[in-house]
Amino acid sequence: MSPVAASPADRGSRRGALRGITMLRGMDDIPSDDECAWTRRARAGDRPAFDELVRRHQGRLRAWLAVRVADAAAVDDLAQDAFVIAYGRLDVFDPTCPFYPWLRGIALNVLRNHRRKAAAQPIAEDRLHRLLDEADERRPDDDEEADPDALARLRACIERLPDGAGELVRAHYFRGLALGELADARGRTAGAMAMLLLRARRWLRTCLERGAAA
Amino acid sequence: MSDDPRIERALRLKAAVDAGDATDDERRALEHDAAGDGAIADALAGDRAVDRLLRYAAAAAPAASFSAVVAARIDAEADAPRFLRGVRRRLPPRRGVIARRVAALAAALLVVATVAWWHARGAPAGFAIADASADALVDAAPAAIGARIVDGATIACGAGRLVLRHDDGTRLTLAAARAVVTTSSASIALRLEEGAVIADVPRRPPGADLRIATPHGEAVVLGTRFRISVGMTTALAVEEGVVRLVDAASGRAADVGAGGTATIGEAAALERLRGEALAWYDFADGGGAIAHDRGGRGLRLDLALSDPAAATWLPGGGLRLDRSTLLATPGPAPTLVAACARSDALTVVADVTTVADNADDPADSYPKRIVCLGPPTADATHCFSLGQGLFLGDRGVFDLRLRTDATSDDRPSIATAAAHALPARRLVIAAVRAADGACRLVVDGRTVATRRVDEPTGPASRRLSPAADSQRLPGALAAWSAGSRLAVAGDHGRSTRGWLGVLHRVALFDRALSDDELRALTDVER
Repeated sequence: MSPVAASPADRGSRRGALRGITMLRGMDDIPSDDECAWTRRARAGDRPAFDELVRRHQGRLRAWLAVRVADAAAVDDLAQDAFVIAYGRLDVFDPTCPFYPWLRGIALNVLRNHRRKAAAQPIAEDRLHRLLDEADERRPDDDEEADPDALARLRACIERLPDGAGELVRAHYFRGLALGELADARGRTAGAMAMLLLRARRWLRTCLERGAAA
Repeated sequence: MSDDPRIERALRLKAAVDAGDATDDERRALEHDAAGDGAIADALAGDRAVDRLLRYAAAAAPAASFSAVVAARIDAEADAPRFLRGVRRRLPPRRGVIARRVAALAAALLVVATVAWWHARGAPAGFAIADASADALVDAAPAAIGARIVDGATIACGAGRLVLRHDDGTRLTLAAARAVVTTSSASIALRLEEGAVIADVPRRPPGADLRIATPHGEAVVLGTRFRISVGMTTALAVEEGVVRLVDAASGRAADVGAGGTATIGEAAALERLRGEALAWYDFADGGGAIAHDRGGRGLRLDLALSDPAAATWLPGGGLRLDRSTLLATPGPAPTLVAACARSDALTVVADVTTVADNADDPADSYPKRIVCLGPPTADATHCFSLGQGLFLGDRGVFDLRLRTDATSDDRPSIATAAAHALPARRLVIAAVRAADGACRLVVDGRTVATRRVDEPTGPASRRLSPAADSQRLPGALAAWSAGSRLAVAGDHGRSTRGWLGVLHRVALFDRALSDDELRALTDVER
């Protein structure tokens, strides 16, 4: 069978086929009074107040970066960079505005710089990922956040993964073991581990879509 | 995986790309297919969407040391030369390189001049405290900015940070760390017991290395910027230059370059935990009717197998239970009981493979006991019981029953909100009770949502609390009977409670293990 070019209609149907694993935009960016108080104090030079902002927003920012950067160590480094820069620029931050979108804007610039540096290296995979992003009709730098329902469904689906696939997914994504480490532990090749993970993700996709349709 | 050979081929290529095994031609073929074939693009986009969601979910959990490291980096940034900070921020990359070189040269000249000045005035080389948070201690006294560090000084940062600046320009930022600093005329040594260090080290002359030792090995630095952190293992991340990491256990060394990371100490982590364990069974006996206790506390709580024909010892370790049987200590375990009563805390860890057969029994034969401690009679109340399934309830949840002096029996209990035991798979389930009464269940190194199960007048009155990461089971463990015996995969006198599956490791501790320690027990050998 010869390849068939994707038409706009196809793309529309593909978006529909990914229901249940889509992301949302602009979640809870309205600052609470409590948040405003912390940002005002941080802006006035109160370090513990800034530490509190770090504590509150680190998970969300790291997750946002993790969607865009495959290397888990780089995710932490970039998130730290964003917080360090944010601290140095608190004097230009409007404390009546929500802190997280401003922080994410800084993180976006940090991410772009990171990509510029990475682009100088011969990693053909990035080109493939850009193609996949286009196919998915999502821009990698937008402000999307994970749908909490999708995360809950994902957790439930992981629990139902057959055989050892759940353990493999947890080891790779949640405990940060690289394909090579997984392969060494199981006496198999990294390619075999990648294939098992790919199968697990396909199973999860089906599970998520069924959950979304239910 | 797919009925469509085009998609099947594309997915195999994608796996090769993920593993770094794909050739340039294969990459190009995949790019071509993804760009031109809607079905393939859909399959790959779906895979990428799930991959993104998994990465999002994994990163969304707060990281324990993240805040401390950010705080340390802010301090490090604030202490950098002001003109250098401005140059870094404002200039585009090409001009920035030149400016940084000029700035680095100026900084180097400044360092040389400063060192020469110090030597000229006869001051000894060494560290001084450049900055410190309020909870940082040096030799058990609050850290004073400007104070010099004496040889052998002990540093404890608590949850905060301490910045040390050496006369030679070396700068160490310690975050949530415990460490000992020693300096001689030429070399610098830091023994890092816990926490993280961000090191900014000017190039050092031969023979004047900076060495950072950890419980698992040593990092030798010639001149670089890197981060090293110690938990149950030692993790190194190098930003600039090269650091040699030496594994103390094997003596092997590896040079880690810019952008590289390395970890040592996994085996040591396991050994350290085994040394602390009240009881530790790795089921590596290979045969016979005894599972030997290899816990480091020397309690020798060996387990006798009541029906050896019901179990199979697996090559390489593990005991598969094909029929209901019982592994139990032949006599009481008073030392174990006393240790838990003293600490008021407990951790039970079971590395097991669950099987579907455990979910097929009558609803009144649950929970199936994985590990329990109690008097050797069927009608007695357990001290604790970690089991699978609820009585007349969900067969796939894990359940912790715990007796305290505030309860009349081993209820209320806590149970996982989800059926983690099903489908059948290998997993590590841990039950943790802290001295303040907080109890949680941890599956594969991650705390899972639990519900408190209250049954004031029996199962018909069962009430489940809202799901939360931790549930409080108040009272003290002093009510435990000294005549209690430890049992695995079954219960004294209750044959219907036998648990089936494979036992890989069971361990008991008289304290609440940390997340880091529980992850180490999950990661090692998995």
